[in-house]
Parts: sequence; C-alpha cells; structure tokens
Amino acid sequence: MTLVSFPRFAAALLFALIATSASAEVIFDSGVLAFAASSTQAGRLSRNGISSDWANAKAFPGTVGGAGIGYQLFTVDSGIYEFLQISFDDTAARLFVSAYDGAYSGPVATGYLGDPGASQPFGNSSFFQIVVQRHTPVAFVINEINAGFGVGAPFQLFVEGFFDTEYNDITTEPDPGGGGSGTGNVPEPTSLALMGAGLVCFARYRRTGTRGPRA
Amino acid sequence: MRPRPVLCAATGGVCLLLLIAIGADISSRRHLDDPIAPSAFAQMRAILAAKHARAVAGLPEEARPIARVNRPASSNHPHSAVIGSLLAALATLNPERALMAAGALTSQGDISHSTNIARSTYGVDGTGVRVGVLSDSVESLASLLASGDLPADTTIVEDIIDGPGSSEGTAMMEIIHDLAPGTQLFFASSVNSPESFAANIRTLRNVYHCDVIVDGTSWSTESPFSYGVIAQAVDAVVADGAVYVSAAGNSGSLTRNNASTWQGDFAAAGTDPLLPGYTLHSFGGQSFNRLLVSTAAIELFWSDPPEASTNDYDLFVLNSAGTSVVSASTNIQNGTQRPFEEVFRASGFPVNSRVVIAATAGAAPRALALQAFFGEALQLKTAGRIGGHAGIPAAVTVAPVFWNSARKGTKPFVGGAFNPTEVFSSDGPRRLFYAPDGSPLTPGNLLFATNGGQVVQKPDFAAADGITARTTGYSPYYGANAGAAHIAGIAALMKAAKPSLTPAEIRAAMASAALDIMAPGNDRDGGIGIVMAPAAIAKALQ
Repeated sequence: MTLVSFPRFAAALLFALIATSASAEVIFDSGVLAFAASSTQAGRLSRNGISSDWANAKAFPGTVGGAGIGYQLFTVDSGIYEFLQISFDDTAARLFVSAYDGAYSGPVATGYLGDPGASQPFGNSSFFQIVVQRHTPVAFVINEINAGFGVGAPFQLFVEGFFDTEYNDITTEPDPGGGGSGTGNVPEPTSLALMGAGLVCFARYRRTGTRGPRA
Repeated sequence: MRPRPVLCAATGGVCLLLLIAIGADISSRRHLDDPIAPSAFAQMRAILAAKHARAVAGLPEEARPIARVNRPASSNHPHSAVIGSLLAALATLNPERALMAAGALTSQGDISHSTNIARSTYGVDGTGVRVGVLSDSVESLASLLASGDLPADTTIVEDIIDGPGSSEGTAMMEIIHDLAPGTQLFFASSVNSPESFAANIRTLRNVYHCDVIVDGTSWSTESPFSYGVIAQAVDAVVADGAVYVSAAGNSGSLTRNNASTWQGDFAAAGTDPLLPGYTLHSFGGQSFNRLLVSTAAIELFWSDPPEASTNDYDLFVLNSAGTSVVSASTNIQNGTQRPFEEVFRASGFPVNSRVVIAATAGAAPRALALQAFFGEALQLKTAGRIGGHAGIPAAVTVAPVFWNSARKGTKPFVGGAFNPTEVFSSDGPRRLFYAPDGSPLTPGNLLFATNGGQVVQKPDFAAADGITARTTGYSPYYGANAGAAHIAGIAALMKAAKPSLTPAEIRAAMASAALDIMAPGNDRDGGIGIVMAPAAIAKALQ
C-alpha cells in the first residue's frame, strides 16, 4: 500500500460508515405485525404487475373482488421528503399495500397514489415509489387479497424518505423556505456531525486528489 | 432445430409473454390479478408464427411474470416539473453534480454497492471508459435519451433484426449509467444468432474499443463442456484487455432445490422395448428423470469434442407412465457433429413427463449434462447449471441478490446471511473438458468420476437485482442480468480510477473487496461474494 492510497482508503471507509447510517431516512417502520382489519371496503386494487416509481405516475389499476375486504390503515407524515419508497413484506402473500393522498376511508379510487403491482415477487419484499408533497399525511392501506383471507397474516411496512430520485439524503433541504417545523423527521445532530466530518474529509481528498499522482 | 437465445434476466415484455404462452407455471413467482392484454398476446403469436425458432428465442430462464403494459410517457408525469426543478436546485447546491448518479431514476444498486460513495471518494464517474452491452434490443432508447436516463452519445452498433424485443439492453445500460455516468455506452444485439452474438463481442472490442463488455444472453446450443463461438469470442476479447461480465442465469440451484440440470457420467440401466436398440442411462436407481414443471425445451450435451462427436446419444421425452414417446431428438453423431440433442414443444412438455437419455450401440461412456429451461424442472438434479460462455474462466460471472434482501431499506450491502442470492439464481461450478481451440484439457479422460477436465468455480461474484429502471417493463428489474450490469458499472469506475488495470487485476481487486455470502468462502451460489465499489477501487489503486 502506498502513502497516497492509504488516505483514499481511509476516506472510503469513513464514507462507507456515513452511508450506512445516512443513505436513507426511515420515516416509518411498522415492525412485524399480524394483520387485523380495522374496517372493510368493497373491492380492492387489481395487481396489474405495474409498480409505481418516481418517474412514472401509475394510473389507477382498477378494482377486483367483492365486499367485506378488510384493511388496516397507517398514516405517515412525509416530513421533509417528497420522494417516498415503500417496502412491504408479507410472506404468506395474503396482503397488498397501496398508498393514498391524505385520508383513506374505503373508496379505493379516491386519492390513489400508487402500489407495487404485485405481491411478493420471488419471495422478496414488494416495493414501490411515490412522489408526495412535503409535510403531508400519506395513508398506507394494507388490505387482504380476499375477504377474511388475511386475518393474522404477518407483515411489515417500511417507508423511506429521500430528497431526490438518487437516494440522496446527505444534502440540505432543497427549499429552506418550505418548512421544517412539522412532525416529519429531520436529521439528528449526530447525523449532521457525521455529514460535516464527511464533507471535510471529502474536500480534503479532492484537493489532494487533484494534486497528487495516483498510485 | 435452430439454437435459441435465452435472456438470462427476468424480463418483461415479449419474453414474458412467450413464457406465459407456453404454459410455464408462473403463479408461484408473483401474485397478479390482471390477465395479459389481448393485444400483447396477438403480438406474441405473430412473432411465434413468423419465426418459430424465435418463439423460444426470447424465453427467459426466469421471467418476471408481468404483462408489458405501456405507461404514460414520462413527459406526462404530473411531477416531472417538480423533479426537474428539484434536480436543477441540487445541481446549483452541489458543484460536484457531475459525480452524482444520472437520470430521473437511479438503481437502488447505486447505494447497495456504495458506488455513490466510490464516485465521490475517488473522483471518478467512468469518464474515458467505454462499456459495451449485449442484450436483445433497445426499443426504449429514445425516451431514455430524452429523460436523461441514458447519455446522448449512446451508440447502437446493431439492434435486434426480428423484433420487437423487450428493450432489456436499455435497462442494463441504465444501471451502468447510474453507477458510472461518465462512461460511453455501446449496444449490440445478442439474439440475432450465435454467430452474430460472437461477432458483436469482437466488434465491441476491436472496432469500438470497449474496456468493459457485459451480456445477458445465452444460447441453447452452448455447451457446458466446451467452447463455442461465443465463448471463444469472450476469451479473445479478455485476452485483448477487455473485462467481460456475464450473467450467471436464473435457472435455479441445488442449494435451493430448484435446479434444472442433472450432470454426471453415463451409466447403463438396461433396455426398454419402447426404445429398441438403445441402452438407457441410469440416473441412479431409475432410467428416467421427470419434469416437475412444464418446460418447453430440454437439452442434452456430452463430453465429446465440439463438432466432432463420435458417440451417438439421443434424447427422449416419454409420457408419465413411460408407455409412449412424446418427443425425441435423434441426430446422428458419427464424427463431424456436435455432441448435442434437444427437444422442444412450444406449448411445453407436460408435468411428470419422463426424460430419457439413451446411447446407441457402441457409444462410449461420456460425461452428460441434461438441462431444462426453468428452475424446479427436474426431479433428479445436480449443481452446475452455469454453462456456455458464462462458464469459462475468462468471464466474470454474476449471480443476483435482491437490493433489499436485508430488509433494511436502501442501505449498502452487508453480506453474510443478510444478502443471499436470489432463489432463482443459477449455480456452479462448471467443468470444462476442452480448451478454447477445442483440444482436450485431459486427453482420454472425459468423465466426472475420473476427475477429467478442469473445474471452474462459478459464479464469480454477486450483485444487485430487483432494482428500479425506467425502461418499460423493468420496474422492478429482477434477474442475473441486472446484477451483471451493476458489476460492469463497478468495473467501469475501477478502470476510470486506474486505466492501466488489466482484467485480471480488476477481478482480483473485486475479489478482495467482496462481502462473503451464502456458504463460507468461494461457493457455487454466490461465488466470492458481493462486490463493494469503494473497497474494490481502493484495492485497485494499491
């Protein structure tokens, strides 16, 4: 190992540590829960195989099924993030997750934002992305595939927030005037300190890197 | 029968429709409600009628079973203005914008492999590096150029001739552009013919001077035991200095009990009145294997010299009771033919069909490789599904790992039990009996039992799949091709950091920077492990 390469490696390690702690902001984690319907709805979203993503607004996929389909509701504040990525585990493939703008009371077409298009591809967590307004409530609906089919089925809902579509959360809020006093998550002081350390290290590297020869 | 290309990755579009059309059991793969759009079926059937060989040409070894349904154009996205203004704001705030990932959508693999960190830490984005991509087609190219998900200087060397394809080429290029946005990208189709595939590999290197080449296609005629034209081309461009990355495939593994291959030495099991004149092969206790899942094509290879087989084996599919022949491949091998037989039925052979390997009189025992297209297809199975050009030492062969397999969200991979390979990933190792020029590696010793040939540890590495791409039908993008594209992107960053790196040095640096997964050490499912970009570049710079 040369004298030049060592600081680079050290910088890489430091950045890796930072990335581990700050590459995404988890704004909601349900933990593993057993499905327990809080209410019922008529029909549910059709799983049409199309996953919502940040570049493409997904059209409402239509409904299937009859009455009495149970759902469980989680409302999450988007905080300072406009780009949300939702992961959903449902190992029994009896449930389905979708997102709605604001409140949700049962009509599946009202306020629809997106869904993963399928349940549990290849046993992995299903996931999808939506773009929302900052500091607004987003309703996540967990519904059973068929009436009574999901009772007790374990699931976990996981929501991450990002500043942009490149998964960055190590920058400042793009629009400082846009708020920040809401209930959403903001970087904790520890995270900010790490960010600062990383930026200093990065700046140091950049200067060194442009002057010194590569090993 | 014409050989057929197999898009290794889980693909959408036409490839998927073909899979559905032949009756493959996809219900266990992904839970959907909507039927396939009639128009899409009509398109698929037209393709089937026009080119029956290509009916399976697009067959993915593992497909993400969704229909190809057009979505609104990105320009109609209600938030496109918001995204644009946000990115513009970020560009103002961050003068290092050029080192950030590009495009309106970024692969989660950029975080999983810490290539975002690598770009910042080492000040590299792939500038000066040329990457060639071989896949089926690039139908989504125009929209991706417009959205910035692909660079304006992307060069199409040769597109699919008898399209349409699934545009997986653009999906693979998206990943590379996300990880190494400074690279210049070149595309050539790999599904026009094996000879065209091989020629395009050489063209990408010799004419377009690609430093890194990646593909996601295998052809049904590619032997697991010897070099064909594609493998020879891969070997040649690597010898010339290019890094060649190939997908391991999505045909299952012994570890997951869904392997679609059986490999071993011929052993006589007696005769069958239904097949007079033949000596049946014993799979160990029975003279047949069984299909556990309906499959369209079954291939048999044996360890005779390429294009010079003198031992005549044949392949039969019988009904479940073994009382009638459903299909047979009985080409004569008498000295100038390839050691290969294949049966094919577009609608798929029924579940529980018997698969029989039979030797004609005088055929000497050889190592055998029986393989079907899809995982979980065979009752009796072994490891070693990775073959063809992906199985040669020169190729960097990649298995897929779901980006969120640790269930921690968008975080760097950590390895170990948190990041296993996908359940559908193909396994190694590979045993080669012949050198690239066709000469035997162990003359006179052509059997597994006597340790003939050379064992090649495959796959080499593992990388992210299940990521979000903007190419229509590839969100999410599952399969080994997605993993291969991530490794190609990392290789491009390494090459940019130190242009003098040889393919061997890049492979060694990747190995030193890999997170061990699956079985401890270099194993048949995940290879050496998941490559992490910062450590790989650090090692390369030492």
